[in-house]
Amino acid sequence: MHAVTHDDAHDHDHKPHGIGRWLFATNHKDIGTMYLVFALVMFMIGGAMALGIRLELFKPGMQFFDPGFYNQLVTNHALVMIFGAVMPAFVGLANWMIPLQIGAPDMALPRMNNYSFWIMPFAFTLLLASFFTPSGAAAGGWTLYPPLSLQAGNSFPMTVFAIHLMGLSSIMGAINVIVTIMNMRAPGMSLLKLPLFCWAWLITAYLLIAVMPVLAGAVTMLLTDHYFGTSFFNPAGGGDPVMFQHIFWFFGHPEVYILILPAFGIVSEIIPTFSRKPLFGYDAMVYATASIAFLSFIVWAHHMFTVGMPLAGQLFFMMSTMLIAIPTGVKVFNWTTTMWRGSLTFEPPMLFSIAFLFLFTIGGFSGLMLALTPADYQYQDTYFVVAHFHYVLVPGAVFAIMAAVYYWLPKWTGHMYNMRLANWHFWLSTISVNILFFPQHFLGLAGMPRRIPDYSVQFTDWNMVSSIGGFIFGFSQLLFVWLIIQCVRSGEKATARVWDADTTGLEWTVPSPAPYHSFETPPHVE
Amino acid sequence: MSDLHHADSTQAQSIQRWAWGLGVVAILVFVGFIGLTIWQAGAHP
Repeated sequence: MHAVTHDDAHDHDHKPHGIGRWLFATNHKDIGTMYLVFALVMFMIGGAMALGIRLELFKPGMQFFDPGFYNQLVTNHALVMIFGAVMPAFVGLANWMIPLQIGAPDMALPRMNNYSFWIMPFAFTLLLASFFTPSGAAAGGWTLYPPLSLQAGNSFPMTVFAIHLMGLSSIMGAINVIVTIMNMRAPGMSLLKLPLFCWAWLITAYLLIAVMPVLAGAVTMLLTDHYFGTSFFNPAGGGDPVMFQHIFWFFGHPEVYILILPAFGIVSEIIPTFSRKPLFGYDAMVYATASIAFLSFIVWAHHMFTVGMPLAGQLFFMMSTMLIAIPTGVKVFNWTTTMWRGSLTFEPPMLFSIAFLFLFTIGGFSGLMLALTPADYQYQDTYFVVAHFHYVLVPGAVFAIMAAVYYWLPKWTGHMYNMRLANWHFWLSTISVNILFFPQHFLGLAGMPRRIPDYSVQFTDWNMVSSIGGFIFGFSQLLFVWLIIQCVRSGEKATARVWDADTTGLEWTVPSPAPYHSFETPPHVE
Repeated sequence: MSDLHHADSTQAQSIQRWAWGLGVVAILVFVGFIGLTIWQAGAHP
């Protein structure tokens, strides 16, 4: 893609100062930065909860926590990581990069952008404060299944309101992304010239608008069951708890794709850059992403095979789930083919993207195993499921976020980062994430149930290995935090193009660091 | 309109239409799912 740009940034680069710059921020770069910092803080908090879990599971018997608190840790680790770390990190990347990639001066709705961000700290203060209520935080799992969740104490409305606020923030963020991409692309940038990160986010944003209100509705009904005497899901009053599971997973499965589609977009940007070749099969990648999004709406009950359903239902949900392997396979093969005979170099973003490719695929394959209804009866509620979704979400979504940070950080800060430290971070993370999660497949196949603070002695060895991996992985992330701080403060000056490659996106036509106001005159894409 | 300080008027109108349209869709999904649940609960014996 070639673009004619008018860089008048030097004339308009005044920015607000002090706390007001952040409180009343409407600049997409400031809001993107706030989202990314928020996500990093939440990643550390959710990570600390995970380390608590792995500490307790290091050996059998109860060591540190009582079972109730352990359940609170498990529940809130998930809520914090999904809604507080991964989703806000993607929204932060969207804020920073979508206007830069489509040649727009900002997001279409900058003040709504400010609201969507500032709702988040309130939501998570509410969620985390629930730990300090007499009954403790929510402990029934992030899925909030009734009747268990209805037995929660007075922290329950705090959790529900926190989920409402997160949902509101996500919906407003999604509206902003769609409106920006549909209305503010530079002249000449047709939809099929859109960078794949923007395409992935556009599709993700539609998913968010379609399913976040479903979650909001479900938790609202839980709230009225708890406090207003309704019986939507409460069997004690004639309600149907299985109905909640259907509604929850109608949200929950597309949510899984909300967490991974932007990651696909990121990897589709990075692999061509460091292969020095255009992406293989751009159109197929767009259609594959859209197909995955469509399929995500018709597979939800594969989370519920053991709940009981008619044979036709089991067959339908098994087959539809397995169909997802086709568009996902298209993507994996296209990334691989992009690298084929490319002039590859292995800078940190590329290393994380290649690790993503291998390790996400492992998570995908174990997903196919779980999709088989008869086999799922064996795997259901074991550590095999925990291994599966952590492979998809940690070396999948989280590695893609790290790849994105390593790819665009010089564009944001104007400095190159410490490559040696980044390589250390990559190797420590990649080795330890496998030590952490791979043994959990063995534990699950051997029958260790998930969501328990204690286990039979035959599971000890692999749990110890997993916990050691967890601690190495957790502490390795401190390198990442240190590297970012270092890069913001100082470092070798980054060029506009940053990478020694034929990068073609519009974001590489503005100087590094990207000026506070960019593309005030739209570039023309030829 | 004050949010749209970068957009010309045609673009601003389109942005407004898209934003309101998507917001209404989100509210309809929220209300619709609660409605569907009530309807389904009524269908139980």
